[in-house]
Amino acid sequence: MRTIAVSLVMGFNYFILFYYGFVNLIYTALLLVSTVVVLRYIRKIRYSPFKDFITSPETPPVSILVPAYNEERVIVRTVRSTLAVNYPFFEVIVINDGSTDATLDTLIRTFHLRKVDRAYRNVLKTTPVRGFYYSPDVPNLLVVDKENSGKADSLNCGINVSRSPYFCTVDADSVLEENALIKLMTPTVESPVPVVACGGVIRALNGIHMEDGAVRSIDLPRSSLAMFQIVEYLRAFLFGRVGLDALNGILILSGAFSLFRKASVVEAGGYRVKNVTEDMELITRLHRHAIERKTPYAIKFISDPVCWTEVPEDLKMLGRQRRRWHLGLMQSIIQNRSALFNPRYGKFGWVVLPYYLFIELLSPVVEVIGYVAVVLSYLFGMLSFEFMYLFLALAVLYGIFLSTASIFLEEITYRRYPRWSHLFRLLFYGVIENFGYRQINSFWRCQAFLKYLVGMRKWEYVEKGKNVPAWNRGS
Amino acid sequence: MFAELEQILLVFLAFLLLVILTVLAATIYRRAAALRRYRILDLNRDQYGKRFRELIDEGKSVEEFSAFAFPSRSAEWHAVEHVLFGLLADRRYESAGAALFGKLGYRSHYERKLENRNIIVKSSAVEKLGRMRCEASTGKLAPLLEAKNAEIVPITVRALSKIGTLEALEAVLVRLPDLYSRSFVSRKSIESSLRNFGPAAVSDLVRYGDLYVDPVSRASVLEVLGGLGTPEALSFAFRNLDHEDSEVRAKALKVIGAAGGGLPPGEKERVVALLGDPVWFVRLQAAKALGTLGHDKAEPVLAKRLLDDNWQVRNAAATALVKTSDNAIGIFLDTLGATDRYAKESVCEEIQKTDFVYRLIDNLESPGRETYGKSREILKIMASLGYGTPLREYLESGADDRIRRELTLIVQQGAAS
Repeated sequence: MRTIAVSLVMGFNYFILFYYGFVNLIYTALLLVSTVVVLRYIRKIRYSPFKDFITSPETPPVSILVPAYNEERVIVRTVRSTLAVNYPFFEVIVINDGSTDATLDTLIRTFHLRKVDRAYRNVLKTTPVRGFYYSPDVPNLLVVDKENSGKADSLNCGINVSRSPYFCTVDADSVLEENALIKLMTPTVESPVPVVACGGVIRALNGIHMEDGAVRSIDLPRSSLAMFQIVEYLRAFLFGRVGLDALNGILILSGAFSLFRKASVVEAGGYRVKNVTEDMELITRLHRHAIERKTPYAIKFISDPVCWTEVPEDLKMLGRQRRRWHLGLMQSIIQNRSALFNPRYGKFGWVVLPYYLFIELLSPVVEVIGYVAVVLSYLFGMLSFEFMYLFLALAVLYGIFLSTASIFLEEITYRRYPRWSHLFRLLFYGVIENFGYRQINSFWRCQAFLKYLVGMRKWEYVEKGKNVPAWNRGS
Repeated sequence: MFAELEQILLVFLAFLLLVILTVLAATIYRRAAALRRYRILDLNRDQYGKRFRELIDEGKSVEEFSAFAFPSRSAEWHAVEHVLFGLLADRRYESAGAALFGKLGYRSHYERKLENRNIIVKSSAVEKLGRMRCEASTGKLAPLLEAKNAEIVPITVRALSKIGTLEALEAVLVRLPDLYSRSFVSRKSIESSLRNFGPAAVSDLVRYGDLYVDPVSRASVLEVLGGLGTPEALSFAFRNLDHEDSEVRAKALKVIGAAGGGLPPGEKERVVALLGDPVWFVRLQAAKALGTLGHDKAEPVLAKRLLDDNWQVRNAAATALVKTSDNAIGIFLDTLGATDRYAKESVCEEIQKTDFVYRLIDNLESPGRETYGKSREILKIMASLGYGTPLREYLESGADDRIRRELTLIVQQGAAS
């Protein structure tokens, strides 16, 4: 019995060694691809026509959809920032998802809205709409009040109300940079292949100073947890997604800021209300839909247009967010398992889905089981402390390498954090996030795994914006 | 075996540590270098900006600026380039700026870069020549429209449109069908660029539009003409109303709607006929055009379109009727008597959106029995369909007591039905 157990533990140790080597090889490849792509992009942006498109009547109209549930603290700031974007024709549609706080009243009061009657075409089935609010003073703002049913249903409602060929989703606690939308639309307009979805970069809003709906000055937050997330977002957006985009293999475009071709989304059936990460599920379905119909398509990620969003500053909320993200990833992959290694789906089935399954989904589980294997190895007396320390040092150093490389990439491209103190703090957190923060993240993601297995698959509400000072709320 | 593995790990660790330290040092160095570079650039830009304006104001000729011809890639070269673009944006110094680009060697520098094999360098040069409005470079840019590269072609189209001469326009128009067939550039990109040529381009657009056999190019030209809203394009648009391609017909209607003021009734009839087109977006453009043109004989056909299968057509027809028809009340009432709920809701929405509802409310004190009766009936139907908000608003804050009494009854009846 003991021999079998020892063999199992030994085998698992080898598996972890090879798995770890494989994952890091993939990450290094993604980093190299991203560096080339981002550097090319940054040179290309000098002759990008986005400034011409700001005033061009040929630029397609866009509806900006802002689903809001209990967002009274930040909704005005968000709406002001979306209304302030540089874009020729756009409407902002706020969908109040049956908020129990004063979200709707705040909007009515601030923008002098009055109730209007509009025909509601329930093309994508949603819960009933209670009313529409509009003001001739702000003719491109419409507030839809509906019964509570979640973000996905609210977005479907926004799509039903929208009258534009494209829509852009923005979270109610997010702030768009003034050229973000036009920069997102430019590659869509320019692409000879139909772009069905396009996502931009999300950065942490914590620490940012706002004025009249626009980002006035950039600073870093005091909270260490927010700092860890800033470094994490840099890593995810500057090398993870850019690398996958080169393969047209993006499965995750943040719902906080993404642009969609409405006809493609409606054709695919809109957002699915049962998924906890509706954005990822939709992107996966858009891929499948286009591949099954053999229509040329592209789903793009652009590393320049920025949307600033509140990140949680306490562990409880952050844990909820990370569990939800991982649960959503799991749901999307399981729902699309028929495409996995299916020749019909080409690289989507052979590269993209396997990447998300074996690297993004399973890596935290392997990591946590790895810690268990260390304990078991010790109990069976087969643990080489010297080897363990070396392996641990390698894992930590590789994590530090990825974080510092992302900060370097940020430095040679967009340099959004202007002060020397910003740079040093980012580098410092890039190093220390590997001691504790990364591990706790893996723990939350494992929790999501277990929750899925025992059938606990509900959306966990994340309260954000608690730390937004009154002067930064835009009201 | 473990010992060997440990050796490998140790070597790898040392390597990784070295890489991390290099990345850290590179990050810090890069920040310091960038700050220094921008400081120098800002300083030079301020200095040369003032100096250039002074010299131009003193009436110095372009020849006397040769002291500012710096080697390319130097900080001064970049600063002067920034300054010259600044001059180009200022009407007072515009012509001097354009001339200095040639004199100080920027044009020849970027023209040389057109030969570069690196696409980014080449594209950047194309964009710069366009922004410099180098008319003399048109001949060198035009052949790039034939490049087999999806990056270079749209930038060249745009650069030529910024140069804005008829020669540049012709270079694009002569290749338009080819550009579309090769799919290296999107339609939106081309149409945005063609519009930059402005009204002076109309006669060439029409001339080439007539020559194009492929419907995509023809529709594209019509789309640009529609945006320019010029009456000189009307005859071309009318020639295309019977085109077999639905998009061409729709775009032709757009031109007519945008440009056509006082058209003879016979020509308006041709537009009315297209309200019956089998393709919805042709009907939509016909309804929109009639909203601008106005035509008595269009009323019954527009009334039919209030029940169109497509909601955009229904909306456009309702808007056209509100804008142009004296008999809109009667037509709306007839439509609201229809059975289709979507159609009725569309009409109600349009009545609200176009503020026609306030005309109906005012009509409640009209001395004419027919106007009063029809307005009252429409308001009652609107209230019953849930479109009673303006009525309730009037009840809360309206001034006329008689109207308020009428509205109270209407809202009660609407709620009961």
